[in-house]
Amino acid sequence: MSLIERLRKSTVQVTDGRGHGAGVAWDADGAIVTNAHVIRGRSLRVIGADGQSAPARIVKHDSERDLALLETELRVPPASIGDSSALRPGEIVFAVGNPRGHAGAVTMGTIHAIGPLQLGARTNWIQADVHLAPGNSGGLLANAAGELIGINTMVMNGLGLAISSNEVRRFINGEVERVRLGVEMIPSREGLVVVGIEHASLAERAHVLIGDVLRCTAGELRDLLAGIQQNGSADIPILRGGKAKTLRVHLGTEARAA
Amino acid sequence: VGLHPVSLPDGRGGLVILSIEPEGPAAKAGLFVGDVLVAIGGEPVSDTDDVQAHLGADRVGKPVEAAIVRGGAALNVTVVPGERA
Repeated sequence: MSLIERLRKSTVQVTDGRGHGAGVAWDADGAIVTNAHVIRGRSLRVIGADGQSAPARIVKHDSERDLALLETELRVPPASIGDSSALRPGEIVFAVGNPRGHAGAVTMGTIHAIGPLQLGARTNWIQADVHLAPGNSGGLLANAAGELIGINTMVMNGLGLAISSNEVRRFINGEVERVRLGVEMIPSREGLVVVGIEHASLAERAHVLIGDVLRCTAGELRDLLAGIQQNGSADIPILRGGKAKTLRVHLGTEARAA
Repeated sequence: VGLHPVSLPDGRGGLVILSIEPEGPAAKAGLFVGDVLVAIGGEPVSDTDDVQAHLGADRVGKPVEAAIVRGGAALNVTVVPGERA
């Protein structure tokens, strides 16, 4: 069987009674991975490449990661799961999905970049110039060896964005998501200037203000935030109104600049 | 100065200062990186065009009141626009 045929057979249609998306067989026991935004309705069904279908139920759902794990009686040949950390820009990739209802449609492109879309953002998107359309969401992105390296999730600035297979693996294994501050920042000579704060984010709870200057690099900030899980809090050095302060950030509790 | 448009929690627009030229008018007025400029001469500013409108050649050397938000608090400073290098 050709590489592309194998990929198509591992891809399913996911219907929720309101719309169609795609999904991928993660194992041979009926585990299907898709995007959380694909399964907004209640009546879930999975349709295989051979046209057979079966109901599905939600095992796990994470709307922030935009991932969902389904379980179905339908037996679908599982995709071979690759290591997305080995991906490099320029690699050839294939996307399979059901764009505009065309089941099993295939598109090819190259990896454009791997990483966040903006400084300070958390998600390491696999960005590829594959042609995606509504119905590709939840479908697979595979490398030239036919290994699944991402789940196609959205289109931005003409590029397809996929959640990496390693992130999907962490989601399935129940690994805790990295802590994120929830700010938009622009680098300056003084540090990272906060220019946007997400609603209900850790930053908002910690009273981060527009214009605060975080006295660290994006990498140092990631490390500081990672420390929250071990230490319960993190101290972020900031400049506010030209004065040096320390912002103590707690998970789930309020913090103030001291 | 380098400026970037922002939205403040109270819904107002403004421009956050990203860089300040040493010895320039903003530095002389005591402005800091991170200050959010919300009005010049009593008129709201939300993009760089609004600011440029107040910095024409005819304004050079004439003090103008700038409303800023610093660390969440409102304050006014007087800036004397300088000549572009």
